[in-house]
Amino acid sequence: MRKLLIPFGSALLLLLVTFSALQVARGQVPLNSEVVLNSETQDGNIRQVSAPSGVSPDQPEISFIDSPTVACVQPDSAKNECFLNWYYLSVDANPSYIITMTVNLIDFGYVARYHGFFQTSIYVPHSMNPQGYKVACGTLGEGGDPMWGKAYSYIIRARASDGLKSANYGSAYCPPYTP
Amino acid sequence: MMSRYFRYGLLCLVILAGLLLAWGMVQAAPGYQAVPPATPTHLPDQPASYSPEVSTIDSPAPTCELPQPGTGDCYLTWSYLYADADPNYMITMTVSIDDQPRARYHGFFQTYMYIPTEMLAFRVSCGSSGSGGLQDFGRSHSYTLRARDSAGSKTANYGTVICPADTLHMCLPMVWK
Repeated sequence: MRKLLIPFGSALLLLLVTFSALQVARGQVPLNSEVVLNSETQDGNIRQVSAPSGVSPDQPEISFIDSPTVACVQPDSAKNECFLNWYYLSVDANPSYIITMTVNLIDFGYVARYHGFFQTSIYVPHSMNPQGYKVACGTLGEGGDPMWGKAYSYIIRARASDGLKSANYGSAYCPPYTP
Repeated sequence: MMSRYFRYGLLCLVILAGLLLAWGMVQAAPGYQAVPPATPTHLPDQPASYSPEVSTIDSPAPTCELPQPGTGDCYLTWSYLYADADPNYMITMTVSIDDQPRARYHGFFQTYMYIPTEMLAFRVSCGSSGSGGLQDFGRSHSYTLRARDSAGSKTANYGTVICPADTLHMCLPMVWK
């Protein structure tokens, strides 16, 4: 019995050290994670400002992305073609520079990438993509709303030269296509 | 040679030290930051502190225009559409033509909504001369504009436009539209 105590104790100690090491590894924040600095929600829409872990500015220098009036329009009722667009997209990172702003339609992936060029803000009017993004309208109720067609979720992201990021999450319902 | 009790004591001390080390590591480990989901889940509507009704929809100059004669295709549009729900948020504005939904404009943290004419273009059938009840003009089309704010207030505009007369001309066979 005596001879078993020391190895048993050593094994227990080794187990405890391993357990504590696992706890440390679990508790560490991954290198590429972000911390949300500011977040707002409204009727299923979300907008956030985030920063890389370890950066904690007193005041975020990148604004929320302004993306009013996301439209889904069916110009021709005889076609299963709808067009998604925004009235405009705008974000300000003064005094930092805007690096990129991207538009991601979840069903399709990235559909636009706007690059900053020594600019602290970026403004993209609807006229830069006058027709909008062509999508299928969908049948009545296909998006979950019995009065409308398909629904499309989107993410708009912006990144500034100081590493801060801003993101908008939302969705848009399209008119139904009735052949 | 160590005595038996000394060895037992040393063993207990080592085990205790290990326990303290494990406890200390657990306390020192920072919390795990969850990554927000890429797609937002449904959230309740934002309650309004008080709820004045959304303004009437400003929809000047409903227009039916014929860009290309001989195609039979007319386009219905407006100078702009505008509605104000301040201090509440605009949720949606919708356009229906001849009782068929044709567009839905979604608010995004905005207390008013402005839609320029470039985002308002809906193809409709022009119709033959007199088909809308007016000589020298084509079909009439009814439209409904609706707006809703985060307090649940709604507003609607109803109207009719009469289009220029035009029909599709094809060589063979002749198809009147």
